[in-house]
Amino acid sequence: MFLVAVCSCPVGIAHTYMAAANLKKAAKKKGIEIKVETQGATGVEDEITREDLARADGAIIASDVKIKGIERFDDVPTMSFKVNEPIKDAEAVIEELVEALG
Amino acid sequence: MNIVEMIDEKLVSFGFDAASKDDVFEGLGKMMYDAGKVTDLNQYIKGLYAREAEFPTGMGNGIAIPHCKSDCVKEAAFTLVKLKNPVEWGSLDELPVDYVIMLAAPNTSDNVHLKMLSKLAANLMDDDFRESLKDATDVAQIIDIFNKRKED
Repeated sequence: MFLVAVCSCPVGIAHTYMAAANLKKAAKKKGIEIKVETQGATGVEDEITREDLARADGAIIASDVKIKGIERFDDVPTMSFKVNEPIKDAEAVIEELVEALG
Repeated sequence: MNIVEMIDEKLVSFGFDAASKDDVFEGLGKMMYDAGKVTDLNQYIKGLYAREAEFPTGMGNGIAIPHCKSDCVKEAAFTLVKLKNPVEWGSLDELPVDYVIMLAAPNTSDNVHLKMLSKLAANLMDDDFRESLKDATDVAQIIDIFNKRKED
């Protein structure tokens, strides 16, 4: 399974990166491949590309603000969360998506 | 650039006396100001409250990371402050906060230092890093913990 995610938060220096770190940690624990894009104060990093999306099974948006390029995810099963949710329990976030994917 | 170089002893405390979140904002804001990181204390504290109003910065495990990005911040900085007594924060796990990493981010395109702050925040998701930081009793130990972490 391959998941993609985008994290963003109001100021873009702390929660974006905590959420990203936790999603990567939780995915690794579950043996799931994940690529996490961060949209923070220093710009976009690890951008999810068309190639990524072509093979992605699902997408996680963890953000309290409008993310850039949301239309990229139109054709991928996508679940949206508050940026705090993966900080609190990233495994639960991933499980929720995986269950929905069936 | 190494995050260890950003540790400022003037922003480290192992027993800060605060009775409330407001006390922490004022006291640590003043610490930032006195250390020369912030040029306008009122503006900085206002920024902290404005960010806090979006959602509380208590990340769980007794740690809070109040922060803002503002013109009044001269250079990127962070506090490493253990509180004498835990204070209510409205944290994710609803537990009180006894360790505060207050971040100050300048409104510039100085990406290197902003990235350091982001890296510090991300490192807090690592259980070992977080717990050893909270257990540290002097600056030398903190430097050790940061050095151990810097390779990743």
